[in-house]
Amino acid sequence: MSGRNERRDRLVIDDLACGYGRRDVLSKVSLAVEAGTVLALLGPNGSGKTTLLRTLARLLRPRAGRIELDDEPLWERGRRWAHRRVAIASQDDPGGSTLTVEEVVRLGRAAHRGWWRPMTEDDAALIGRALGRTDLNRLRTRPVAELSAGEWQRVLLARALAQEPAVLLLDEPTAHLDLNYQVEVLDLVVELARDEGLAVVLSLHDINQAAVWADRIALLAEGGLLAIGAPVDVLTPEHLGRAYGCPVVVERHPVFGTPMIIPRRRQRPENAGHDAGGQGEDAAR
Amino acid sequence: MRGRGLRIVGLLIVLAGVGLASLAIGPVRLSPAEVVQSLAGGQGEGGLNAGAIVWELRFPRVALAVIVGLGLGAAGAAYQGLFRNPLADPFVVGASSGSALGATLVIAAGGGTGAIGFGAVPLGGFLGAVGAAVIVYVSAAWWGRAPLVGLLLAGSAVSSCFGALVWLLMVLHDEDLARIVAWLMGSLGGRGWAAVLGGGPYVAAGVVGLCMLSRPLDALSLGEQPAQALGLPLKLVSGAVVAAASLATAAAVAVAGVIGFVGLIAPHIARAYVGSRHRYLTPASGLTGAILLLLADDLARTVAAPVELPVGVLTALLGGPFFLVVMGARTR
Repeated sequence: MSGRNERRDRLVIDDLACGYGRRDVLSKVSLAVEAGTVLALLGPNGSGKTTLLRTLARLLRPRAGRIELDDEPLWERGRRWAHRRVAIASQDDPGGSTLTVEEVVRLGRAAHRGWWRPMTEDDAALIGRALGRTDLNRLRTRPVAELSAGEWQRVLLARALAQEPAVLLLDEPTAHLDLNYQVEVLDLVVELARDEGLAVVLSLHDINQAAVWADRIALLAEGGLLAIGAPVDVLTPEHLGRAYGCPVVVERHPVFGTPMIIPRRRQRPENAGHDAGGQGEDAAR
Repeated sequence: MRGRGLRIVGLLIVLAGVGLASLAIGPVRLSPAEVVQSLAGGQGEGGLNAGAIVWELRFPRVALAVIVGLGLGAAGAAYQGLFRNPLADPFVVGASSGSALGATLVIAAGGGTGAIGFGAVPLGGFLGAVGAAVIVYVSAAWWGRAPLVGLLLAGSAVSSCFGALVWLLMVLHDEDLARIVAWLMGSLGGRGWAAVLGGGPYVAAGVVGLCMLSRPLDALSLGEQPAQALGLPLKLVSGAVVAAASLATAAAVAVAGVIGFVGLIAPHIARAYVGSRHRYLTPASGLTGAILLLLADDLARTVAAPVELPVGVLTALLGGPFFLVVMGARTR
């Protein structure tokens, strides 16, 4: 299950270092993402998930290494070339925007149509399709400021789709969503990856979500890539204990058989007598 | 889509109506027929020379109000979009204090009166406004990170500094105090065709430039990062917006002095009418600004006749309560 094989690698990262100012947040990161698959980035806060996504979106210049998209260098090919092929949906809220759903999705076409030329019939068709795929037709004319978190996440996805990307980057697409919306968004992302042949890279907080929905997982920690591969290979107690610095139990998902992570309390110190929970058995495992 | 284009046409018709009415209003009241006749070139049979009143006095003043309102309204919409800030107005990057300093310097140096045409004082005001914008933009670019926040901060710093220099000049040159204050209050009176022809092209160029930047401004309403992720060259676009808006604002201030509030409220009214896409919002804000300034100037000319009030004082005085009512009506 290792990275390179006869299937097509859309996105290849080789010995990448990225960060802000003088500080490397991540270094020596090498990985590849196939067309039609989903790679989940996991790691504790500050491990560089967002930094890596922003670097892949060409918003942050890499400090070393290469990023190749369909065998072409992302940074050397220029801004326009890159933004026609890579779309990112970050956690940003609609902020003060007073645009409507459709107007926001339209902006996805700017990467192709440029900033001055009028939109064409093709653009209108693609915008309509993106709205349809994300089930937003009903909300077309709604101001984005009035949307729920789940609806806004779908708008971000629709805008990214209108961009017709080869690579789709999502920064915590399930953050702040209720369970039903989390499932809905992740299902949609996997479906889009399969149907459109997108290479999807997304960061997630929830390890179990990654285990169920992602094809492969990259675990970031200690300023680099700690492990990458299929969920079953990456999500081991050793890897997770090292990355997150806390003990976990790895079980099997009762339906899918994928790894399922259950947190454990740390071993109780000898003198902490007033602790309410019984931890004796846990500590013995 | 089509509907919003029609609403722009509607604003144009309202503007034309208010403009014609403004030609009729004044110490000598003219009938609509007389106004139309004068415009058509006939001298008319009215005893007093209606043609001269319309062509020499009122028409240039009306045209000037339209130009100044157009420039301030469109610049206000652009800055509110660029900074994602409903409080932004045409003067956020220092145009008012810059022009005030420029004009005050010329007045204090004994420069030619601004009352007649595009003289030395308007030129000083124009250069001062452009100069302030350049200083603000260069400082923000030099500061580097968060370019848009940098523009706002530098704008506020430059405004404060230039404002203090104006006060200093007023203290040092108290013999020119009346002229300086008259400039600071802003007025459309006694400017004539020279001001229209002098300021018009710059305002037009600035407004056309802002209209061409409407899609980038839409993208920026989502935030800097998301806009850049759509391929927007942020520094280039913010530079272009500041340049075009400063051109329109500087020309408006040069010919009329500092007229507050129009550039702040016009975009809010226009937004309620045509929505938030800048393709419609920018021209609609300009037209709304023109209509508002025309109405304010009509009031300034007539309310205390034969004394004329400075329209800049009137817009600020009435603009505040008006704004509260408009915002209250929108949120309810």
